[in-house]
Amino acid sequence: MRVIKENVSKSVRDGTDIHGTGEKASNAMTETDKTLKDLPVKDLSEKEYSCVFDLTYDSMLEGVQKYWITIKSNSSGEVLTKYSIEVYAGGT
Amino acid sequence: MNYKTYSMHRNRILDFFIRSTKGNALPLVLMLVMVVMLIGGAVAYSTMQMYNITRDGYHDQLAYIAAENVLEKSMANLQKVITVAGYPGSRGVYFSGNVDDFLNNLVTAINADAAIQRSYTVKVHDTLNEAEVSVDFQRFGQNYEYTGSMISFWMQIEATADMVDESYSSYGKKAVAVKKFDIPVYTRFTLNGAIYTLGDLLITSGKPIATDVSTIHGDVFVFGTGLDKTNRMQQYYTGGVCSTRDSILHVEGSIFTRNLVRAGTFDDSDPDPVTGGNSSNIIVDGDVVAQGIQVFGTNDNIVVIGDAFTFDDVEMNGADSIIAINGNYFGLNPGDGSRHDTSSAMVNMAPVYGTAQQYQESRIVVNGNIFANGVTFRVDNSSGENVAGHKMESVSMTWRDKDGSGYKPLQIAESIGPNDQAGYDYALMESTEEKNGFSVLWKVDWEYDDSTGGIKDDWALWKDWLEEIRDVADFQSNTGFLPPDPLEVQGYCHYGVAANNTFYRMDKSDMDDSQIKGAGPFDINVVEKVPGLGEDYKGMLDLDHSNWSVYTDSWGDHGISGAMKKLMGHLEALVHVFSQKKVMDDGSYEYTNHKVGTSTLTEFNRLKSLLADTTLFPNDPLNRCVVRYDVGDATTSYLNQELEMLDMNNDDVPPVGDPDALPDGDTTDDYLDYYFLVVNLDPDNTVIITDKFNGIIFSMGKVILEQGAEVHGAIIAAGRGFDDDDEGTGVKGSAADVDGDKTRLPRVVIGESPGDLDTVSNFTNWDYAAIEINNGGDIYYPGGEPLLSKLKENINVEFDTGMTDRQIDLFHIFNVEVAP
Repeated sequence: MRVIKENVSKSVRDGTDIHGTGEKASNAMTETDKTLKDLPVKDLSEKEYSCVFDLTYDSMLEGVQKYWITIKSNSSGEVLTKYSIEVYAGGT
Repeated sequence: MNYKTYSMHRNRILDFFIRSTKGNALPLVLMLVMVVMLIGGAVAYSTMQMYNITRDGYHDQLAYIAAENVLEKSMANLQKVITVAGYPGSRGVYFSGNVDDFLNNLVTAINADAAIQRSYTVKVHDTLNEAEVSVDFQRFGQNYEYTGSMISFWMQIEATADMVDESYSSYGKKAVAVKKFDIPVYTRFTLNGAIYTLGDLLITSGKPIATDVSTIHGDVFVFGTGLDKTNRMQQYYTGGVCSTRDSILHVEGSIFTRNLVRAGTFDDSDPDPVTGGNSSNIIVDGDVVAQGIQVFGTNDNIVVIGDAFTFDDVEMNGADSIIAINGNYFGLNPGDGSRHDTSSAMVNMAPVYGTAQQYQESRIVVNGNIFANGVTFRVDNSSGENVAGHKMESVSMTWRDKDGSGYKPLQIAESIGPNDQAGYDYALMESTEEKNGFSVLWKVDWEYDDSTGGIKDDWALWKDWLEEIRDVADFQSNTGFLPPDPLEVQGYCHYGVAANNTFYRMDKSDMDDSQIKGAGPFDINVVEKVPGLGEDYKGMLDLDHSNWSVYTDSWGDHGISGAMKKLMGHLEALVHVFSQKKVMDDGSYEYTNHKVGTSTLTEFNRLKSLLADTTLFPNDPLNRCVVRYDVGDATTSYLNQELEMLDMNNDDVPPVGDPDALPDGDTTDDYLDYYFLVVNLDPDNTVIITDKFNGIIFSMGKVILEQGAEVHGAIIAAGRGFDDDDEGTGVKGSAADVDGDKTRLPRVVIGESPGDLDTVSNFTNWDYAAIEINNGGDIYYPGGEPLLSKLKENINVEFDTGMTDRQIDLFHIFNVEVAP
C-alpha cells in the first residue's frame, strides 16, 4: 500500500513514470474509464511484489489530484483493498 | 486483502475441529468439545489477535494515508490563500522590516484564519468510514529569504487523523510536511532619496571635468537595464548608475541599484587619456549596494568612501583605471556554483586583456576587510559556449612567472585545464612556487584614507588618493607601498585573496594557520536605511570567530556566510523599491513590479494615479505650482523656459496706482521662490532642466539635467519601456507600464540568430535611461520632511483673479511624517 502510494505520488509531482510500470499517473486521465489496469508493484530497491494494482483518476481540485488505487492479488484475481490518495501537484 | 485472508483461515480451522468431533461418545464428546473449545478457543483467540493486529495495522495505515492526503490538500489551500499579494495585511500583519516578527505574527494569523481550512473529512477507503483530520501550522526553523518584496520561509504542517469504524479505531495518526512558501510583502513607497528610477541613471559629458562635477546630494535608488538571463558574458550591457565620457558624479549619499555602478563605455573605444580622451568617474561618499561595481573603459574610476556590498562582483575591465573602496567589501552572494554572475567575488581582469602598461597598472583597492561569499570562475569555452569552469580564489587574479617568460594568470602558467579543479587547487593552495597578486591592493597604508583628515572628511582628496595608487601600481607589480600587518588581514572568503604582490591563503579549519584572520569589531551602517531595521542590526556580521570552523562554515547558518546571505535579503529591499529582478531556476531573470495589495496596480503606478489626479493636482503652474504634461502634449519640455514666462510674484509690471513700486528687474526668476510638482504622464515626452528648479519631478519618461541644471528636490522617473515584439524597435511606452502580465522594465536581449529580438543597440544608445545628467548638472535633496514642507508652504499671491492656491501637501502620498 505504502509503496504504491509513494510511487504514484512521485509520478504525479514530477510527471515521471510510476516506478516499475512504464506509465505516468496522468495517463489515467486519458483512459476511457480513467483507469490504468494491472500495473506491477516494484519498490525503489527494485524488489517486486506479487500483487498488481489499478490506478483510477478521480478528480482534481485546486491543484490536488485524487486517485483510487485498487490492489489485486493478480490481474484477474481478488481485490485485496481499494483506497484513495491525493497529491498536490504544486509540489512539496 | 490481508484481513480477508486471515478471516478465511480462521473459519477453516474451526471447521476442522468441529468435523473432528463427529460420532464420539458423550463424555468424549464433552471432553473433546471442551478441548476443542480450549484449543479452538485458543486458536480462534490467537487468530483473532492476528486478525486484529493486522486489521489494526491496516486501519492505521489508512488513517496515516488520510493524514497525508490532508497534508496535500492543506498545502494547496495555503498556497492559494497565503501567497496572494496583500494576504498578510488583510489579516492585520504588516511588515515593518523585522522579518522574524513578521513571520511569527503571520503564522499566528494563519492558525487563526477562517479562510484556511483546519479540519477535513476524508474518504480514504471505499467501504470504511471517513477519517477526521485536523491540521496545525508552525514555522519550521528560523531561516528565511527576503528579497525586498518577497519573504520566503518554511512552514511545518502537521495533520492528525482519527478514523473510527465499527471494529477498529485509529486515533491521533500524524503526518508532517515542511513546505517553503513565498509571501509577497508590500512596502509602501517612502521618499528617502534624491533619485528613484526605473531605467538607467546616465552621467555624461557636459561641463569640462577639470572645472566641474555633477553632484547628487542624497541617496540614489536605480533599477536600471538588466540582461535577460544570467551567465551572459556581456556584462558591459548592464545598466544602472553609469558614468561615461568626461564626467564625474559625486554622490553625497549612497547608491542602491540592482544593476551596476559602472564607469566607462561598453568596450575599449575610449580614447587614450594621454591623447585627451574621456574619463568617467563616480565618487560615493556613503555606501554602495549594487549587483556589481565595474569599470570598462580607459582612465575610468570608481571610489567608494564607505562600504561596498555586491550581489555579484567587483570587476575591473578597464585600462589605467581604479576601483577604490575605502571601507569594507562585502560580496554577499554565495551563488549556486554554476552561474558566475550570481557569485560575489572580486576580480581584476584588465591585465588579462592586454600587456600594455595601461592594462597592467589598473588596480582594485580595498582599505577595509574583505568578506566574499562567492568565488571567481574560470571561463570554459571549449564547447563553443562560455560556461563556468573551475573555481578560483574569491579575490583574483593570481599570477605566476613559471619559466621567466613573464607573468601569466596561474591557470595559464601551469597549463591547467578549464575544468581541472584539483590542478588549480594544488597550484594555488599547495604549491610553494611564487603567487603574485599584483592587481589588487588591500589595506595598504595610504596617505589619503585616514579616518580623520582623509577622504572621509574631504571627498575632493579622491584625486590625490588615485594619484597615490597610480604611483604604487607598476607593471605587473606594486612598488613603494607599505603592506598591512599580517594580523590586520581580516575577513572571510574561499581559497584566499590575491593582493599586494602575494596570495593570502584562507584556511577555514584553523585561524592560526589562516593568513586571513577573523575581523575585529565593526558595524554595518547601511542597515539603518532598510525599513524596519536599525541600530540593533548594525552588528549582524560582527560574529564571534573564536570557533573558527563554525564561523567559516559556508553551509550552515551560524557562520559569516549565512549571516551575509541574510544581510543580502535585507539589502534587496533597498535595490527593489518599485520592481525586482530575481534569478529563476532555469537561469533566466524574472522582472516584476511590486503590486499594491491584491490588485494589479503597481506601486509606481499607484503614485502616478494619485499625482495625475486633476482634482488634486490640476495643471496650473501659476495658481497651483503644478506642472502637468499629458500624453501627446509635447515630445520635449524645457521646464525652466516654461516657468520663466510666469509672473509668479505678480510684479512684472508695477501695479496701477502704486507709482513707487518698481517693475521686476528680472521677470524670469519668480518661479525660483516656489516649489513645484511636475507630473509628466507621457513616456514620449522628455523633460529637460536647464537651470535651477525647486520641487519634485515625477515622470513616465526621461528627464535630462543639462550642465547648468540644479534641482533642489527629488526626481522619480521611469525611462522608456522595453518591447519584446520582434517587429518592434525594442522600445515602447514607459518602463513603468504594465501590459497584462508583461512588464516593460528595461532589458537587454542579445539575439543569437538573425531575426531574433536584440535590444543591445537600444541600451548602448541609452534608450532606457530614465535620468541623464550632463556633467555639471546637480541634484540637491534636502530630506523628505524639509522638501515636502517647502511644497506645503508655498506663498500665495493676490491677483486680480483672486488668491493663488499653491500649497501642495504630498506628505501622505510620499509616506513622509510631518516633523513634530
